[in-house]
Amino acid sequence: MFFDVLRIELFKVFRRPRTFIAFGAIAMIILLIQFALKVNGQEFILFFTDSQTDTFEIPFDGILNGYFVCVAVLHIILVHVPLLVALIAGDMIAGEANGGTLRMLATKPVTRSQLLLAKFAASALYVILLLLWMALFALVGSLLLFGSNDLVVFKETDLHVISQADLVWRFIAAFFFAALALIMIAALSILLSVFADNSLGPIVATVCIVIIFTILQQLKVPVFQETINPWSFTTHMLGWKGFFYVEKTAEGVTIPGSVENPLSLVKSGLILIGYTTLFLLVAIGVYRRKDILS
Amino acid sequence: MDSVLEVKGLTKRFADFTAVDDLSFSVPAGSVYGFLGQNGAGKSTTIRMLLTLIEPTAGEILIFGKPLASNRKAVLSKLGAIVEKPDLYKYLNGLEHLRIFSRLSGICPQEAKLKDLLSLVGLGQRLTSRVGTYSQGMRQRLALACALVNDPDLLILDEPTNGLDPQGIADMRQLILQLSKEQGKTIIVSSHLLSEMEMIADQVLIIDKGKKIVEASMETLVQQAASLELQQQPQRRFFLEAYFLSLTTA
Repeated sequence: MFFDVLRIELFKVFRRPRTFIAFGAIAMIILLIQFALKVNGQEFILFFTDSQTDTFEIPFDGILNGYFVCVAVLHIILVHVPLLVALIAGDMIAGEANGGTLRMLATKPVTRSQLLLAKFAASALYVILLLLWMALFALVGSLLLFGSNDLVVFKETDLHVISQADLVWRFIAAFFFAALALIMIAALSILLSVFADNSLGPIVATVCIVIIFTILQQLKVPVFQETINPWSFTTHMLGWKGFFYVEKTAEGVTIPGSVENPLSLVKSGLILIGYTTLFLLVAIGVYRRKDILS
Repeated sequence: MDSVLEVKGLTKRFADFTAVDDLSFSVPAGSVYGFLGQNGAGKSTTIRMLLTLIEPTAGEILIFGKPLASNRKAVLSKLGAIVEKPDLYKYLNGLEHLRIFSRLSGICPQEAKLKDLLSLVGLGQRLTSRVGTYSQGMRQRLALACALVNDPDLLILDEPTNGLDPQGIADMRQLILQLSKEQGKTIIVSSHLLSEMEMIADQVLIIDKGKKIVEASMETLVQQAASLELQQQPQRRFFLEAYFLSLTTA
């Protein structure tokens, strides 16, 4: 029965024109970034390498390749994708309550837990498709437009050079990690959606929560860094970057297949899964007892 | 006649407001049961409790002889409903709605049956049109088709003629009678018009402020109305409404 409900939820999600706004927006943003880097890529790299230009000559043509552009795209747009996820997930329960269809669903012989889990699973699949779409444009598209070469990643005043042969698994892992983060956002939106009878509320609330915690994280003051930030989901949502920070030998040579801080990546992943589970359990608990008055 | 639905001491309180107060009634199998009350009398709250949309504060609901609370899935699989104004998915068409609600009812949809059902409610020509292009009456009929998709034994229709034009009201009335007389379904219809119920209901329950005022056969109710010297009303419709008002505004 669960898979029947999931199929119905997916059918509804992908029959709604609004669903494709996110796909269109992502394609357009990536194409614009790729265009900008094609025209002004050197200036973009100079922005990151300003402190190093006096020390050595920067090989711009080698750095500006498809992998580099893909990482740049992910840096620029992944922080904004939660809004696109909230547009769909925040509407899952509240949108149906507002539209009056929730009561029709709830009078059918499907348990409320099944219905909510199916809506969550549909949101999660939407997130995965959105990321695959992003990968298609950001990675495949950039490789076609800019070619391939080793990846140079700038981390504060440090440079990480990763050979081409060592890159594919890192991108797969990074996209997988981004999926975990965005699925957690979907769970948060669904939780907020359970309390509302209007989809605007949970969508705006999700975005506000992400903005608030991102600001707390960016403040970098001890009062937040020692208390909230280690457990804030926005801190761990950016964990995907960790796959592009590699370990080096004492001579400064990159170790293939390594990541700088694997334990931190595992911790971030577990915290994101923990939040997702918590949000879902609370949502199910509330929704099962909720009076459907809309 | 056996009861399909039996309600005992049903109560629903929202904070300090009692919407339904110790309500008891039973619906005979195969009947059209009129559920009447003015706006805010507690009809929709009662219907929502019958459909597990809201949880009763107290009382017991037995449907098909089983307690609803512990047999939700089994009971709902033999029940169909329209709750208030049916809002459907505007971006889907009629046939897609029936496919969705068939699957949700645990039935593998058969296209021919679904098309027959849409024809039964008069939407045979519009089965692939988006619901956003439907009139209110067409949406109401589609909602009825969605409620009938699992061939329910009990049909609960909450003010099914709301927002319909006179022709739509007549069509809906005809459909209800057809489902009752030809298919033997038990149908609960809520309304705030006694005159409308007179044309379709066998038995009537009138509630006011959440409490039961009258439960009687339609025939008995009309006789009671007649005996109260309300016949001076110019039309039969008005004298029934005058009787209804005398009961619910006392």
